[in-house]
Amino acid sequence: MANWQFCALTDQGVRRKHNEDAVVAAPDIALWAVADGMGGHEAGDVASRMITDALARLQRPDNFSLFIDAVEDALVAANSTMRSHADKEFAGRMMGSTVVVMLAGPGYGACVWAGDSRLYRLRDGKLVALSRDHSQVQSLVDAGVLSAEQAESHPNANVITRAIGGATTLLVDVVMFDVLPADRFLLCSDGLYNELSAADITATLSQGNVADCAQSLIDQAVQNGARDNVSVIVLEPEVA
Amino acid sequence: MTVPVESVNHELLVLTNSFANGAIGPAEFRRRRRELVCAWTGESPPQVESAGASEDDTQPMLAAITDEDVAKAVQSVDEPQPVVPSQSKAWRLWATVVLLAFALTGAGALLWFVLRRSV
Repeated sequence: MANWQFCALTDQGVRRKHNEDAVVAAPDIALWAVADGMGGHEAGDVASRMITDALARLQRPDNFSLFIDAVEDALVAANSTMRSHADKEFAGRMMGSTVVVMLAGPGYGACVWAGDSRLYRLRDGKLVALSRDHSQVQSLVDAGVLSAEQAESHPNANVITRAIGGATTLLVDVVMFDVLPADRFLLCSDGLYNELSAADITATLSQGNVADCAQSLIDQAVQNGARDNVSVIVLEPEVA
Repeated sequence: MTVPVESVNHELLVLTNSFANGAIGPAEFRRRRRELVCAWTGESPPQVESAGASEDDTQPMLAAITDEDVAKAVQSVDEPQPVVPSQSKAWRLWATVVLLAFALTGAGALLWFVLRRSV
């Protein structure tokens, strides 16, 4: 398993009073994740922390497919805990979180996610989203009703169709991807890509080391008004 | 990784949709996903001995459930069950007896002390 350079940052943003995002970096098991909580103070922040805490406690099995199972099990358990916590503490008020998880193996990786937090890969100057939003707007794009450009400015752009804590049964999506030595990856909450264009993200990710990139992405989101919490993890495989 | 990644991701998506629509159960979903992932990564599919918490109870190593098993299970539910004190009730009874014994001993000792001095 290759070593990875990474930098994980989260920021409250300009408008929000609390940070309901959470990030986890567990390089010893090659796992990184961003969670974006919903439900307000002491609900959204607790929800996202429940997820990152559960992921941070994971042990990595030898087989990569079992690692994916373990991540899914942790998210399913967090879903149940969150729902019973919401019933007890908030009389059933909404408490949930999106999550995007990146797992790395030798020369490949997997993305496990629910909601609209994203995983991007920068390769040869091209930025590609490896995750696909679980959102109303993305469903319309998939159905050919909306173009990707129309989706960005759609009034329902922030309406998600899946989240941890959102339903009794949790369904996560998984995609596999290959990893090349010069690749750079970005996990982020919607607070980043709602403030920065794909071109801005590409330009920033293309320069400097992972720490500079992560800080620059946060700084630009804040400069643009950061209406939401902003979280980023930038990572790349270490070249021997 | 001889299989194109787009192909494996498409199959993963179809598999997840089958699971979401109820066409396959959780254990089958997990087994087929492991096979797909391992076929792409080049790892050997793992020998999973027991299902995880989120998988169903249908294990290939378990004997199939027959009509007789179901009938027996129903019968055992219908039969009147003997009433036995629960563990917490038995503990409470025991504690009450011990406290009563202490109280009686204390009262006896106090009575003896008072009567001895008055005599």
